[in-house]
Amino acid sequence: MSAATTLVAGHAPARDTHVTFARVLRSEWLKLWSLRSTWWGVALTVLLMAGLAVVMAATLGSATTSPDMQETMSADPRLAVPSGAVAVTFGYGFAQLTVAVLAVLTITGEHSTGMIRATFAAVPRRLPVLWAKLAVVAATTTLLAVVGLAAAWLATASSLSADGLSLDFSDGEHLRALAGTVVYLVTVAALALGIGALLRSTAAGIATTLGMLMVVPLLFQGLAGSAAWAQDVYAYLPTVAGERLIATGPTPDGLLAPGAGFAVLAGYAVVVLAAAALAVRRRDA
Amino acid sequence: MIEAQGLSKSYGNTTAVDRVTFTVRPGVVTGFLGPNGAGKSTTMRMIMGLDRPSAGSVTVNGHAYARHRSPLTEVGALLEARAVHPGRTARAHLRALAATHGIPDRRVDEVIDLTGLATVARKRVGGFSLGMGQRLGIASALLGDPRTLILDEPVNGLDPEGVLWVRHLARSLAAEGRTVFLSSHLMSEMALTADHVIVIGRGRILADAPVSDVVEAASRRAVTVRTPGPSALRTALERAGAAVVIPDVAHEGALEVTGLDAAAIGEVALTAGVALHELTPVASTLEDAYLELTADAVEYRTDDPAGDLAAAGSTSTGDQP
Repeated sequence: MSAATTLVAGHAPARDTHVTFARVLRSEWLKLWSLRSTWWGVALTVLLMAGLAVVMAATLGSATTSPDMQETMSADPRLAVPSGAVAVTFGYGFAQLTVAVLAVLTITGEHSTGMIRATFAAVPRRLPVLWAKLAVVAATTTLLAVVGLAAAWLATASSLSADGLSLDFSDGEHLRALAGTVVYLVTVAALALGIGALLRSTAAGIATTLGMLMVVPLLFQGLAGSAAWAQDVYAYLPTVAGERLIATGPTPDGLLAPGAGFAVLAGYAVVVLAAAALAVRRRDA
Repeated sequence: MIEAQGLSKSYGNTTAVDRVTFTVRPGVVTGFLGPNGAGKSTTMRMIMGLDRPSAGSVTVNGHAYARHRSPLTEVGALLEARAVHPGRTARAHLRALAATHGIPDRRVDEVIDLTGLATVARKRVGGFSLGMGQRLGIASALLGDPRTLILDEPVNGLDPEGVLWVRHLARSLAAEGRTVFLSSHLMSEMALTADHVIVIGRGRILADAPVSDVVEAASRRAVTVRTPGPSALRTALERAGAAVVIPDVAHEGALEVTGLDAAAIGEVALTAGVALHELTPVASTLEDAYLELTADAVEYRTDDPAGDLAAAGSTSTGDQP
């Protein structure tokens, strides 16, 4: 312990020791997966994506024999055309909450603990840290979404095929819904990371993100019945617009087409991340 | 080598650091001394590029910190607040920092051994004591085997053994030719560790000198005298070239004399025919010198007579009614 002299005798860092983006990426990957909350979050999400798909498959299956339920479901644009894709992708509504919280925490967890100062001391240019976090969050979300969808498909395959609702890999719309789930979740995570980087506080970041995902859409959905402008706002809310990429069946009145809807969500993410990049560069750590 | 030029930082109307200029040289331990809230941590954060200066500039080894390709091998820093996520193990924390520079795991294990963290390296940092947290902070500062070390209050929370270890570490790092800049609000600690000291108060540099010079200046030898005839003695002493201060009205007949030693004062008293009830040489300590330097610079201070004494003492001819 008192052998401070080994500092020189020891393995002094080699000459190629310096910061590269690939190294920052590796650092952020190590950071993310060295926290227990990441493992919990990912495991829980995959399980619930499978579990919710099973529930939805059972609901759709029973609807094929119940005219009452068919009527109820046709009122919901997402369920109007029952299919395997609807059941298998159903868990995205829950998954977006966990990936958003994980994304917020990757940055606010550093600000609230002071870790950000160690991080920025190692990478004083700062922006590589933000982009590395974005890449790591996007990769993790992609992995989680693909595994979650695969689990959902495996868990529902037999009951869906028994009800004649099998997921059809030759159906372009089904494929778009599957890929859309992955892309949607990644984009929501990116947006959440940007919000976290701007707000810095875990409480404020999670409250804002969950408010955006859950509360604001409900609010405008309620208003939309009475005011046309509220319906317009509703259609352009980040999640309402983005979810169109996962939806199957004809585009309901007042909502955007899948591609346009996703473009709106991506636009929010780009704007928020650009603002976050400015804040990360300029503000005191 | 750390060079600050007119470095300033204000938050709204509050000026935390006010146009400070100093140089921290390699090969010696430089202490950064000041009361809490004097601007030490803010200055250190500006050196590390964490806080943006409101004015002025600071370079480390010739470049602004952020311009270095390999910051961790240039500067290792222990920052005041524990800059660690509590959910990670000590080793995971160090590996993540090391990864940014491609520093191998064997160096991570080496700094773990060096800082005495081997037994807790795989435990989560949230359960660490303040002392273990400090050791982890020092371990991360040493990761890149840096040429310059910046340690903010490194002995905070350490047990006596740990304090000795930090002292030894700082001295041997400096002896290897590195620049070592460490802050403390404890003068006694500085006196034992540092070769050179920069004293800061209310954001301004109050002293920038070798520790021995500060000690010298501080050891203004004063003698406390008590006499039934204070005014007569005072007149006689001042005529003999001494500076006389009445330290406290509560102690009737007490005088604080500088400029003459106890023997000379006794002779002056004899000549003047004034009786002496007490004649006590008072060697002021480093702690006193520090308090004197920073007395006006303490942001939040209880209103106590010590402040008045220090204010009077700062001018050698001080004379209070």
